[in-house]
Amino acid sequence: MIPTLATRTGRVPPGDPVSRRGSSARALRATATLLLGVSLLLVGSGCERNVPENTVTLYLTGAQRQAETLDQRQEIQRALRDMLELPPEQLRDKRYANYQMEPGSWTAIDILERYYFPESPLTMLVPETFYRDVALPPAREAIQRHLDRITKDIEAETRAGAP
Amino acid sequence: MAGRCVHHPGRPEAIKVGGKSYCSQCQTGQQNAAARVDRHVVPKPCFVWYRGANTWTAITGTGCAHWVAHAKSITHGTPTTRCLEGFTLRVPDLIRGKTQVAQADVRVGDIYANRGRDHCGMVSRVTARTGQPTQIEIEHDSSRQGGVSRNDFATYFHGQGDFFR
Repeated sequence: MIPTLATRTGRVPPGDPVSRRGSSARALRATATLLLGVSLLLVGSGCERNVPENTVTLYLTGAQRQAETLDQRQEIQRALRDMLELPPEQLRDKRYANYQMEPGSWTAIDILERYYFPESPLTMLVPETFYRDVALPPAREAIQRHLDRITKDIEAETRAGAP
Repeated sequence: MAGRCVHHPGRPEAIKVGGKSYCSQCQTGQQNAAARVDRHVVPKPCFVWYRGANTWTAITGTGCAHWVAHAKSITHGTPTTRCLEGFTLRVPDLIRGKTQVAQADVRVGDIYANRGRDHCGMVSRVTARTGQPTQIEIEHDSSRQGGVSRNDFATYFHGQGDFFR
């Protein structure tokens, strides 16, 4: 191969055939990049449709808490903290007190189902998806929101003189 | 003429609840789900949900608002936030549109909702006492006590919460 000015220096004089080939190559590269971007967008939106939504987020978003006593609220608070702090395999083994404060009665799923009323009855919590979804960011955000709310209510209740 | 099941239009009505028709399979599903409702909930047969795919389960959460809603015929909320008979399940829905009344003006039948709006009941007795605050008794569906119970507002509920009429 005979070296040209372009291959030797990397610079191409204007009007040189190499320059025109370079322009075509750049145009091709730009088109390819555009096509790749569009493809990724399409694939991405397709994936979003196929990925199941986080069941913990679905359950807790818009859910209303129903609890009667301070000790029940404190048990809910403990469970929510554990959901944020414990690895799923440890959370699976944790047990909490029931409505009557009998220790070791309920799982983390039971706590959510016994005290939280979801927006839709179609949202169900099952161990297979719960312990996978609970550690993911969207679920952690929803849990944190409920933890903040119940912590605030417990503090207000305690300040007002509840034992 | 008998209707068709609201969830399975191909099946004939076996029972009508809350103005809606259900087939015999749904009826069985409702009865099985009601048997799993927590012992504190009153009434139990309507505290069930259809969750699709022929599945009926007990409604989640406690039964405090549900009991008051039945007692006072309150049906606020959407179809998914009401029981099978169409009564309200959530405390905020229960007191929506009601007027708050001062503690000194409380009467039997007024709705009680705690500060956090996560528990409620109904005033069952008001006793005026000379030189002391009025004694208020609240009847409520108590998850802690396992059923409908009467407790003192000042001691059991620590005097916290509001009243609505």
